[in-house]
Amino acid sequence: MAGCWNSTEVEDLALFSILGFDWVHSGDKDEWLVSALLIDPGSSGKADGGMSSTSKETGEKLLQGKGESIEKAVENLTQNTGRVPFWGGIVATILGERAAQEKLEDFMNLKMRREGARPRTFVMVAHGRASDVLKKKPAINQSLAQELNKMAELRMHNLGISCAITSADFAAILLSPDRDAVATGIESLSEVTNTANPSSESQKSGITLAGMGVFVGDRLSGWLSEEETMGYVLVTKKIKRGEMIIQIPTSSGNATLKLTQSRPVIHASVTGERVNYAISIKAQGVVEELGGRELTDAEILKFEESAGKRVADIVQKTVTKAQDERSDFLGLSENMHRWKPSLWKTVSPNWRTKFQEASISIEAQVMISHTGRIGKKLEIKK
Amino acid sequence: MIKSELEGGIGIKAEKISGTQMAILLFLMVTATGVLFVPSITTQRAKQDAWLASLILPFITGLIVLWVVGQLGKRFPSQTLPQYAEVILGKGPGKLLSVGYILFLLFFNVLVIREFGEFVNIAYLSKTPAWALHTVLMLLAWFAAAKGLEVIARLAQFVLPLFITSFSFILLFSIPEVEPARLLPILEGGIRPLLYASIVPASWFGEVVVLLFFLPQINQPHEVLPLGGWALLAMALFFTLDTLATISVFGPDLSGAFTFPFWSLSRYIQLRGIERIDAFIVLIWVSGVVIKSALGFYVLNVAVAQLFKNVSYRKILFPAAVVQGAAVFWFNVDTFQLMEILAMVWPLVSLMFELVLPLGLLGWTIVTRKGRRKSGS
Repeated sequence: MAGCWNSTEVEDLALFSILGFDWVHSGDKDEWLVSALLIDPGSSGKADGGMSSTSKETGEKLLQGKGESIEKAVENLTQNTGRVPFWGGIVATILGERAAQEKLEDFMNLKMRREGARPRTFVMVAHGRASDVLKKKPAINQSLAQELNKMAELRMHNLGISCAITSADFAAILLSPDRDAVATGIESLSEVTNTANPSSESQKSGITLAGMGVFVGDRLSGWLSEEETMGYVLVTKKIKRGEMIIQIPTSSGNATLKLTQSRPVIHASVTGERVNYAISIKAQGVVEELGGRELTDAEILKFEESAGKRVADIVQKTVTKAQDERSDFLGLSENMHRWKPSLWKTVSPNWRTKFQEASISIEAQVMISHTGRIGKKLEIKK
Repeated sequence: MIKSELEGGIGIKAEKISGTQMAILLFLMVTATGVLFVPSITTQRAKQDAWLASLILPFITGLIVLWVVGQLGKRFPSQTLPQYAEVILGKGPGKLLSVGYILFLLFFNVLVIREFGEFVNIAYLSKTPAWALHTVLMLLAWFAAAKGLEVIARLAQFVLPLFITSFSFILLFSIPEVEPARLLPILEGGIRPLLYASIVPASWFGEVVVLLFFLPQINQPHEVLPLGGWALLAMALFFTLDTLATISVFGPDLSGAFTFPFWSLSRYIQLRGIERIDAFIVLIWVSGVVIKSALGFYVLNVAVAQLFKNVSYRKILFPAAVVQGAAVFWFNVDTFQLMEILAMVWPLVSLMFELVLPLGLLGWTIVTRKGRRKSGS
């Protein structure tokens, strides 16, 4: 909003929807490459006076700018367009893998100072370059921004295989003295040729939110797989209306469990030099798919037991990953800081090492609220 | 029309405001800028305990100031500070003290205007030059002050419900985002950082000292302490809830990093897809600042008019506006410097004028047995 002073008509604004930041090697030097998707409701697919934008026929345009500093790159983004940048409508900012590894501080400083960008925008890390993600077409939605927004919300609330992180969350953790950050991972899917109509341009099948990027301090150090992300969600979030799908091995093949509720409790203690954390997870779920068999009470108990084991197993993988990466993104140290401040005082000088060496026990209880059977198994002739 | 005020020689209408109006004026004056500028400073100092910083010490400071002002008022009814300072201290030192207060009030107004400019500049009207924002605010304040205290008080009565509603909106909408564990651990650094942080809200609460200049215009003087006390309690509640909400949503580290945490909170909250209510909220916030600025300018004029005894209040208005305008332009600092001044320098200066000097004056009055005694002789 510029106000009456230098007021700008809407069509003169560059309304950004997604920003991508890459730290790239070009020629013999490194520089910032900032890519932006521009919402352009007026012109659908019409090239705009030969400027360097790629029309995507979706009402979105891609702009790019390069510069030695991130500020310069942002300036260059709009200098050829004759438009005034507007930051208030940004859905997500995507950080390229290399930028996240080497230049997070520059990025955060830009983000925090541009007060126009709202604190609720998502922060995501791309596998590879952010600019590649921005070049993709949305699969079903009108715009990539819309798609990203819906995907983040759906996956966050339901499946637990990804988790939306707002820039306020992200910044709060980066600034805190006791926790490491994660950011939603985003991947551009590879190109698939449209077999039905091979003459058409190969269909770019879009983007997917996949796992999460793990940070140690101010650099990206690794990635969580979808299952490890599930573990992260189970340890850090209280789930109230989830649809987390977990496969449970049983004697008669895999069964599908849908976790609907879950609550983590973390307990920190210190014995001698060693820090102990006890993570206990209480969850509730629905058996979705059991091949039509009926479960007896005894079987349900047995099923609950193996489901608990499976959940603990998932969490264990995430914990192992966290300790391997030396990144306390699970917030265990933060938990100690909050609930056991006197212990934290002895641990805080080298909390990451203490976390890495900590013994972490995991316990999970799953209660089956009902089996999702609604009819008899279909008997199909062989 | 009250005779004694005409004797005061400031030539304003003998306006009276009620005790409730006074309480509303004081409340809006303190909270209008306080909710925006204080939480960032207190969270930097007291981290997750910052919400406690606005509770006790500032409230007590405010009460003491209110009590001292009330006591001075009892001893010199129908007179204001520039008048009785000369009685208590003698002509020379009394005038000196009044000049000191005039400079204090001038700088107080300059800071309020600059705070307004910085905020609106950063938050919304980024392309509008600061001088344009300052001029608009000063014109409004000048106009309201020219109309007198009663008009400002009625304005405050109108704004108050809007102010409280918008504030409650932010608090209510932030509930889904609240994570109470962010407030832990309590008193991690002991009591010292908390006391250090308390100085800032204490200096804000101490602003009720402006009563020194319009106490005789309150129609029921005995209501000043109880109603003023309620106003202070409301301020403590607002400051505390404000900081509490910000910390439990953003955590102490991010709250301290934001320049205006409460504004960031208003941008963060959403309720079932309703977002971007911050512009509406800022609109109402700005009206609070107009009242603060108007009251500040009014008080400055009263102080000057009474310093020069037989000068009419209306004749002061224009020169005072020019001087204040010049001071605003001269005092050219960036946001960071302004925050540093508000955090480091201004609390000490203002507590000097809000607490120390009035206390000293009252003490000296008691020692020298000046003014009317409580027995009412």
